[in-house]
Amino acid sequence: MRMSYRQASIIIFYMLVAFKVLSLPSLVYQTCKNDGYLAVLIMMVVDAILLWGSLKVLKQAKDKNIYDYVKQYTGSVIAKIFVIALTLIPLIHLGIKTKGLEWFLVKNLYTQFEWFQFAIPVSLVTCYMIYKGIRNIGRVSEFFVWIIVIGVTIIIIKGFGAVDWSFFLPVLSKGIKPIFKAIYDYLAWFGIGGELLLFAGCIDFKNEKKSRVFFYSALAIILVQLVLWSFYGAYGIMASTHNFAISDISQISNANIALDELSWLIVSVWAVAQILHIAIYGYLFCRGLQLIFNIKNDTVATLILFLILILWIFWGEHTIALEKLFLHKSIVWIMIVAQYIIPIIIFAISFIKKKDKKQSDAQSAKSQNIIQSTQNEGDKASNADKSSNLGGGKQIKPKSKQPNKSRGKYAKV
Amino acid sequence: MKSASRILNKVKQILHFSTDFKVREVQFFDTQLFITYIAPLTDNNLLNESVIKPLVEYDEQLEGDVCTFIQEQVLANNEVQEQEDINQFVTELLKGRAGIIIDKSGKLLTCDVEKIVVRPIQEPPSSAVIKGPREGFNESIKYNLSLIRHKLPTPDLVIDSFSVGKYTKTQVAVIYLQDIADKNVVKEVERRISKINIDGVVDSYYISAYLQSKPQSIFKQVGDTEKPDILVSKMLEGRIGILVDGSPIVLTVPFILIEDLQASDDYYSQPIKVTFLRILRLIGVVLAVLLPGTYVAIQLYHYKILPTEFLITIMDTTQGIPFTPFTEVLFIVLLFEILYEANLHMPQYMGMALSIVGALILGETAVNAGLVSPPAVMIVALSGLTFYVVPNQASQFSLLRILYVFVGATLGLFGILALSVWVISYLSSFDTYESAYLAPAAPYIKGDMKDFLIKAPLEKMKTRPQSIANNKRNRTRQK
Repeated sequence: MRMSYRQASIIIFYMLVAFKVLSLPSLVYQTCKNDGYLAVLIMMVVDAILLWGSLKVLKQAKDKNIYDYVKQYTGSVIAKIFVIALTLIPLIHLGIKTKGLEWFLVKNLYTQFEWFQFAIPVSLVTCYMIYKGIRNIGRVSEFFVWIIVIGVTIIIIKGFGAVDWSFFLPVLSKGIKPIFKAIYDYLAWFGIGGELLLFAGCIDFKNEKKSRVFFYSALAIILVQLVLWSFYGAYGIMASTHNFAISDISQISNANIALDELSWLIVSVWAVAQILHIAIYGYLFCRGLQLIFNIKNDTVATLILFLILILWIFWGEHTIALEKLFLHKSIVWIMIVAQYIIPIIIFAISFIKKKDKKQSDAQSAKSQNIIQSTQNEGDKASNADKSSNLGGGKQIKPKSKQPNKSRGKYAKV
Repeated sequence: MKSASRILNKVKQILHFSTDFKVREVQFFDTQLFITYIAPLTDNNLLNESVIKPLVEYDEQLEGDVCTFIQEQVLANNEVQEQEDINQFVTELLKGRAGIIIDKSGKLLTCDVEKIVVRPIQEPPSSAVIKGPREGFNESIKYNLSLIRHKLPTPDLVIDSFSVGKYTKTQVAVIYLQDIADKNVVKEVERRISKINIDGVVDSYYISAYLQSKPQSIFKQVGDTEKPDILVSKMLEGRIGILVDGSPIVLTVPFILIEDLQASDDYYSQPIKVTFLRILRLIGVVLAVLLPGTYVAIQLYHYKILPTEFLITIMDTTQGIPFTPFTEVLFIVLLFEILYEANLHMPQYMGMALSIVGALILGETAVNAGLVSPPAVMIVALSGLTFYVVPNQASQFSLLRILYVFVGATLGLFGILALSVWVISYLSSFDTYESAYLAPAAPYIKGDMKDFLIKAPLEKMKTRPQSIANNKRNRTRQK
């Protein structure tokens, strides 16, 4: 079962927005101050560019999964290493996402609850969606996308009432260096090109409209930028102390400590997006697992993911150091390699091979033409022979090959 | 040479000497005939006029074989058939036909003298309309088929018949438009029906259970209607109708969820008004399902959502209530369901009394006694009322409402949202008869949005819905 191109575009939208509107704004602010939005903008544009490369590969792969696709060019060992690296990305993203959801729910919205009370139902719901397949996730994403977009837009509009636009000036007062430092520090929060490759064989390109991906990517970038402007503009220098951008925006607009009635409902809509994010990354991780260990059964892969989630919920909850795990340099380097270098290598390989294939196709077409023309000439000759035979003349053998010179001549024609 | 009396005895044995089995002996020239029939099933006038009278009064010359002669020259009946097998002969008798056992040759004939006892064509109580046709199906498959034939006088209308049930041998008809309905769907429906092996079919629900892909699910997977105009419009979109003898409810497949929000008079009213009504219905369903659960969640965990004045009012009214909001709402929801069920099965003249007892006495007394709070009663009443904006009164929503109350009480608003994601995911996985259950919303089908929430004018709806598998995309003839 494959998802439609529209559903794939919507999933890309979810993946682009995924980590950027909750805890990232305050983290980036600590390094970049009022230019924080620029760091996010640069990385999102880079991600969007890589995304096009990934889509090209996915289209070329057709029905093949990424392992089979890479294997045909590099051999099975390198293909497996690539798949292992790619599978690490959704795993890291799952970790960040679940931790983000924990902060969002238990430390922000429901202080009276324990994390596991939410985590177990969320794990069950997401694993159910993963078990049902990518088409199911695609449909659910499609169903909720505009509800989420409208919800986030209302939060932005509310926040804009309290924005002090002068806060963003001067631009780049401390130079470009802090922006690159923020990008490097929080690289695990970005990236889509690598893990998207795991979708190879899952997308139906039948009704492909490139404008659709462009639209949803642009929508994601615009929404995230608006949230960031709204958050930074409203909180100013206090932005670093507010960890939950999307819910904190509505608080400042009302000058209340508590969330107001409308914001609560809209913030809850964001919680739906979080569940969908977990389902998407969970699916990618399961797909990676299936490719690495050659697991044919979807249920087994889903069960493994469920166990990992449960372990993460109970083990991760009490280990404070884990909250900082995703800021660790080793994670950053894994992400650089898996999310950026490997996809670029795969694009390059597929591009070169495609070129080679085109050349060889052209070559074979040429030889086909030559054979055809030889046959035609041969036929003519044999017809002539036949006529001469009828006339009782001498039988001439048709030439089997044309000389190289004439081959070149045919190519030009 | 077979003796007619021996055959007659065999028939009696098969029927276990049932007393309603009647035999009339007639001498036709030198051949003895036994006219047999099941008394309650046959129309006496028709039997006398079309079978007995022609045989008794025939006084012209006999030519050739008696059986063929009677069949072709004597009987004044439109459906005379020769039966080869004695069991088939008995089956035909049980369908209300008269049988003729011919002595010497031992040949068997059956004639149609069935007594049709039917309810007159009335407006179905479950689909009353202000505008549009009021005729409804009744329990006779023959009448129901005639109503459809009357509306669809086209040779493309195909009726495939099946006999289902070991004892009831109920006639089931699969009906579709040849060049519109998807052949794979027709094949699948017929395959499922032909595989049914049960004692009897007394209502179309029995067939419906076998047509569902997920029979254990609470969600409806097979559509139903009691009105010929609805069935015909569904067939024109590519759906297939399944008629069952003895049931006024005709089944339709494929079924998608949005059908529950569409009423027949939507197609006889102004598009703008219909669009407004459909949005209202959707809001109604959302309120009906989510309102009690959300109220419990807000009361228990998110009371800050409420504006201060509203919160104070609610706190005033809920003070002194011995139950938690969850128990309170669950109690009222269950009370509502009990009242609904009782009202449904109670004689009509008592229904009004029961409503008064339920609404005034039980509700009022419970509030006055301080057992439940007025806001809780109001919320459940509003939720119950909004159920009825759905034209097809989908019972699954009522069960979902209770589930949402439980989740709202345990996980608050986030639980309600998580359950909603699960419900949507569950429904998204329903692909019955090559149609997605949540289409055209998920998957999004642009062309079908003309008849989703927004209702486009009829002349703009030039294509058949893609959500439903069908053969012919265009509704109108291409010029």
